[in-house]
Amino acid sequence: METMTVNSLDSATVVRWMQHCAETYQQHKDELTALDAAIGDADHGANMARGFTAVQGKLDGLKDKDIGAIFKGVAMTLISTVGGASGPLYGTFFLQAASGANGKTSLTQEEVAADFAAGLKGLMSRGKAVVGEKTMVDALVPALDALKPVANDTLAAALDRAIAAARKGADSTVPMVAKKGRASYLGERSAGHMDPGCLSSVLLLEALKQALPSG
Amino acid sequence: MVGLVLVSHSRALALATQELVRSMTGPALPLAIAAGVGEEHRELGTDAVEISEAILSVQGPEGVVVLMDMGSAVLSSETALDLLDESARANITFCPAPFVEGAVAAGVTANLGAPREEVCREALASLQQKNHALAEKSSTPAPSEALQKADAAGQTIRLTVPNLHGLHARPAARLISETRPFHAEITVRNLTNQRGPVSVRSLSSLASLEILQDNEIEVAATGDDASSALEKISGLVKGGLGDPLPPRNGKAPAAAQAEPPVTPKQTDRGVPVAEGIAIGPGTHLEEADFEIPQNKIENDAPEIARLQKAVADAREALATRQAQMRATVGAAHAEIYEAQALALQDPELIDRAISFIRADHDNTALAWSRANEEIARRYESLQDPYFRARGADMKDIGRQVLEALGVKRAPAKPLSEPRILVAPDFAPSQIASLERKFVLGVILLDGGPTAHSSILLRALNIPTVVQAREVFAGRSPDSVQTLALDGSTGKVWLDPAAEVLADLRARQVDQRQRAAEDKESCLQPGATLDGHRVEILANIGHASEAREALQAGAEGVGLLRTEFLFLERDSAPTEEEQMEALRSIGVELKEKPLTVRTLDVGGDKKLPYVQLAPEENPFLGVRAIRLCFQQEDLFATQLRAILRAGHQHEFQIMFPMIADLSDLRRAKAVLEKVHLQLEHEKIPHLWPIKTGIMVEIPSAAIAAEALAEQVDFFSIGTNDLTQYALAADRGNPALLPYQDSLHPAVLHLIQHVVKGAARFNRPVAICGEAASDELAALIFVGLGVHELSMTRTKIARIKSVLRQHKLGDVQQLAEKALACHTAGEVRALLR
Ligand SMILES: Nc1ncnc2c1ncn2[C@@H]1O[C@H](COP(=O)(O)OP(=O)(O)O)[C@@H](O)[C@H]1O
Ligand SMILES: [Mg+2]
Repeated sequence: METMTVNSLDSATVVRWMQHCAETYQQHKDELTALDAAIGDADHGANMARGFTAVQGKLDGLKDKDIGAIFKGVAMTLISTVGGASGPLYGTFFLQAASGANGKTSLTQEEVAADFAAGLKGLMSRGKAVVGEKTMVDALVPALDALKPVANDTLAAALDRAIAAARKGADSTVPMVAKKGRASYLGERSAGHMDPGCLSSVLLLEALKQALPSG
Repeated sequence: MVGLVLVSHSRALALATQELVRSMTGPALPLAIAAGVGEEHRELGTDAVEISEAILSVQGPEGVVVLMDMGSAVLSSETALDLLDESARANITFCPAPFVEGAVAAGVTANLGAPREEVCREALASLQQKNHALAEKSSTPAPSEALQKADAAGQTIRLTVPNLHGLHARPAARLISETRPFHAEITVRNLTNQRGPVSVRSLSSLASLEILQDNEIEVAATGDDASSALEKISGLVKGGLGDPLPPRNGKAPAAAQAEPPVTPKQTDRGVPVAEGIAIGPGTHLEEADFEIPQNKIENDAPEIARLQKAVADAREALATRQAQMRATVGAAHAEIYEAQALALQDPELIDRAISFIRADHDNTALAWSRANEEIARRYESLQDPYFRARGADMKDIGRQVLEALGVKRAPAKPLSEPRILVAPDFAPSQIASLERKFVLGVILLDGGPTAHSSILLRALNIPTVVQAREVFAGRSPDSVQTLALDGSTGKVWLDPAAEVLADLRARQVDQRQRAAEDKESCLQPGATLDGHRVEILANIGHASEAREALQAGAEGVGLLRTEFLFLERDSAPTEEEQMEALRSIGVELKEKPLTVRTLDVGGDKKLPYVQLAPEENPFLGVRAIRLCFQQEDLFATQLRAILRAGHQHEFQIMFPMIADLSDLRRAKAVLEKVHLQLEHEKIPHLWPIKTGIMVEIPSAAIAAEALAEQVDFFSIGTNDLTQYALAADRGNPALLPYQDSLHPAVLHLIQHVVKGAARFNRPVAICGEAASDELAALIFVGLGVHELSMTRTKIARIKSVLRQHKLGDVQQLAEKALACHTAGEVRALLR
C-alpha cells in the first residue's frame, strides 16, 4: 500500500489539534500543577485545562473558518480564560500566528514553520524572556528551530524532531534558576525542577502530531 | 477626568480596593476593575479581554491610568493594549505603583482633575510615603511641585555658611544624607544671590544655588517633624558640615584659593599593563561613544520601569566597583564612587528623565541622556571648582546607566593624529579597530591587567596603564592638555612640568634604542649566555600573522589559536576552508614547526551554530575539548583538516583543557578514527602526527607523569592554569594578587610538569602570557622549560634578555622563586 505523506496543515487538522489539546491538558492537569507547585503557584494545570476546555467549546463555531480565524478565536479564548502568565503568552502566540494564516485553509510545511516562528516571536516579546531564563521559551525555541523543513521532509517528521527538541529544552530547565515569571520570586530555590510551561509546550506539540491524519 | 482601572489576580482584592478608593473619592471618578478568571471570575488570574473592556468603559479624553498587581497582571494588561484600536491606545498609562496604596493615591489625584502624569506620579509617591514611615531609604523621587508649598507655608531659619569653599559637594552631600530621615519637605534658598528655593534632597539643585562662604541661606520646612529638622540643619551648617571651620573672620589664604584641595583624594598611578613611555595629547573616548536611539515611544510606563531598573543596576554596579577598589587601592581612593552614588540618587535627575519620557515620549536612553547632559552642564557652568568636577561625575554616571540600559557603543572614532587614549574600558573589538600608528598609549579608567583587552594591548606593544580612575579624580580627562604615562610602573602625569617631560622624553629614546637593538639580533636562535638552547616561538591567532611572526624572530609557531576559523560566522567552516587556511600557514613556515590547538570555544565564547546549555560558570563549564566531545562532527572535521593540511609540513596537534588521562585517550581515539577514515578514503595526510596537550587544569599538571607517557609534548597555558589553581577569575580586578602566574603555587605546578615530562623525555613549552614577561621567562627556563611561545612583539626582547643570563643563574633564580610564598615575593627577587 502506498504511504501518504502529510506535508500540509489544514483547518480540519487544526480543529482536531485543539480537541487533542483540551484532552491532553485535562489528562496532564495534575502533572502540570505539581510542577507549578514546586516553583510557582500550583495553577498551571488548571489554567491550561480551563483555557483549552473553553477553546473546545468554541470549536463548533470555528470549524468551518480559515486557519487564521481559528487561531484568532483560540487566541482570544486563551487570553480571556487561562488567567495565568501562560494565557497572554500562548494567546499572543496564536494571535501572531493567525496573521500569517489569514484566509488560508491549508498551510504548507514551510508556512507552518514560518507562522509558528512569528507566533514565538510575539510570545517572546510579550514575556521579554530569552532562552535560559527557565520559561516555556526554553522548550519552544529549539522546537521551532527543529521544525524548519529539511530535504525530503514531512510535517510528521519535522514534528517528531520538534517534540524531541522541546523535551530536551524542557529537561535543560531543571537545573536553571528562573529569571522570569512567578518562579523568579524563588530565586535559587527554583533550581532542581522542570519549568511547567515547558511541559505544556511539549504537550501542545504532541497534540498537533497526534492530530495529523495518519499515513 | 482621568479614568482608573484596577487589574488584579483576585476579584475579591480588586473589589475591596475599589471600595477603599470610592470611600475617598465618591461616585464621580470613572473607575473599573478587571480581575479573576473562570466562572464568575472566582478563580485567580487575569483576563486581557476584560482589561481592554474595562479601559474602554472609563476612557475619556483625558485618558486612563492602569494599576496592576503582579506577574500575569502585567502581561495581560500589555496584551489588552494590543486588543485596542490605535487611537484608544494613545492616552493610556501603565503605572508601576504599589497596588492598594497606589490606587488610593491615584483615585484621589484623578478626582481632583489632575492629568495622567500626575496621577501616576502620586501613585508612585505613595510608596515613598510608606518608605518614609518605615524609615527606609526611598527609591522613588519626591514630587517636586510640593517644594513651593513647603517654602510658602513652613517654618524658616536663616543661616550663614562658614565653609571656606562654600557649600561644595562634600558638605552638600552631607546635608542631603543627614536630612534624609526627616519627612518634612525641606527647601533651601540662597539669600545672597537670590537663588532658589530648591529641594534639600537634590545635589544638583543645591549646587545650582552656588552657595559661597559667608552667603546667607534660608531653610524652610513643612511637615510634622519640621522643627526638629531645622534644628538639626542649623547645628550641621554652623558646625561646617564636616569641613574644618576656618578661623573666625579668616579668609582663605590666596594659595589655597588658587588651587583648591581636590576631593576625593588623588593618586598618580594606575596598574601597569604594557611597558613603554607615552607622551602626548589625550583623547577621551567616552564622549560620543553611545549610540542613543532617537525613537519615540507610545507607552511610558514600561520605559519608566526600565529606567528605574537601570538606575538601580548602575547603583549596584557602582557599589561592587567601590568594594573592589577598596580592596585593591584602599578606602580613600574608593571615595570617588561615593560621590557618584549620590549623584545617581539625585531625584532631580530622575524626575527630569521621567518627564522627558512622559511629555516628549522619549525612549528611556534618550530621556536619560538628555536629563543627564542638562544637569551635567548645569554643574559645569558653575563657578565652584568642586561643583564643576561633579559635572564629570554626572556624565560618568550617565554613561553607567546607559550601559545598564544596554545601549550600544559606537565603534571608536577613527583617529587622525597620534593620541593617548583614555577610556573607561575597552572591548577587544574596540581595540581591534584602532589604527596603531595613531595610538601613543592607552589609559583605562577601569579594566584589569589580565583582561583580554590588556592582553591585546600588550601584544600590540601599546604602552598601557589600567585602573587609573583615581588619577583623574575630580578632573575631566578632557581638561588635560598633555598626558604622559609609564607603562612599566603605571605612573600617569597630567600636564607634567617641563623637567619631568624632558626626563620622560630621554627615557623614551633609551627604550626605543634598546628595542631597536633587540630587533637587530632577533633572528638569532634563542639561547642563554652560555649557549643553552631555548626555542622562542610565536602565538598566533590568524593565518595572516605567520609571516610577521617569522620576521619578528619566531622559530616557529608554538600556538595557533584556531578559533578565527570558527568565530563570527553563521555556520561551521568546511573541511576545505580550514585546510586552506592551515596550509597557507604551512607554506609560510616551510620546515618550521606549527602547533595547532584544536577548537577552544564554549563558556564565554559562543558559536551561533552550536547549541549550548547556558552555564552558571562558563569557565568551569563545557568549553574547549569538552565541547568538542559533545560536537564530535565539528571536532572530527577539524582534525581531518589539520591532518590533511599537515601533509608534508611540520604540524603538531594540541588538545586544550585536558583534565586527565581519559580525556586524552578519548581525544586520541577520535584522531585515530579520523586517520583510519582518511586512509580508507586514500586521502594523503600527515601520519603519525605529534600530539600534545595544553596543561591548564591543575589536575593535568598533577597527573603530568601519567600523561607524559601518552603525549609527544606539553604546552602550559599559564593564564588558565593560574586562574584555576588560585580560583581567581582573571577578569576580576579585585583579585589582582592572585592573577600573577609567578605565584609560587603555579611555579610548583610547572616544576611538577617539567619533572613528569622528563621521565619520558618530552619537551615542555609555555604558551601563556607569562612567557613574554622578562622575569617569568627567566624563571621558566630555570625550571627546565624548553620552549617559550609568545606574542610576536615580545620575541626580540625575550631573546635578548635570555642572552644576558647564564643557565646556572636562572636555575638559582628559579630555586629562590620556588621558596617564596606569594607572587609579590617572587617579583621582588629581581629588584
Ligand atoms: N515572562 C515570561 N515569558 C515566558 N514565559 C513565561 C513568563 N512568565 C511565565 N512564563 C511561563 O508561564 C508558566 C507559568 O504559567 P501559569 O502558571 O499559567 O502562570 P502564573 O505564573 O501566573 O501562575 C511558567 O512555567 C513559564 O513557562
Ligand atoms: Mg502558575
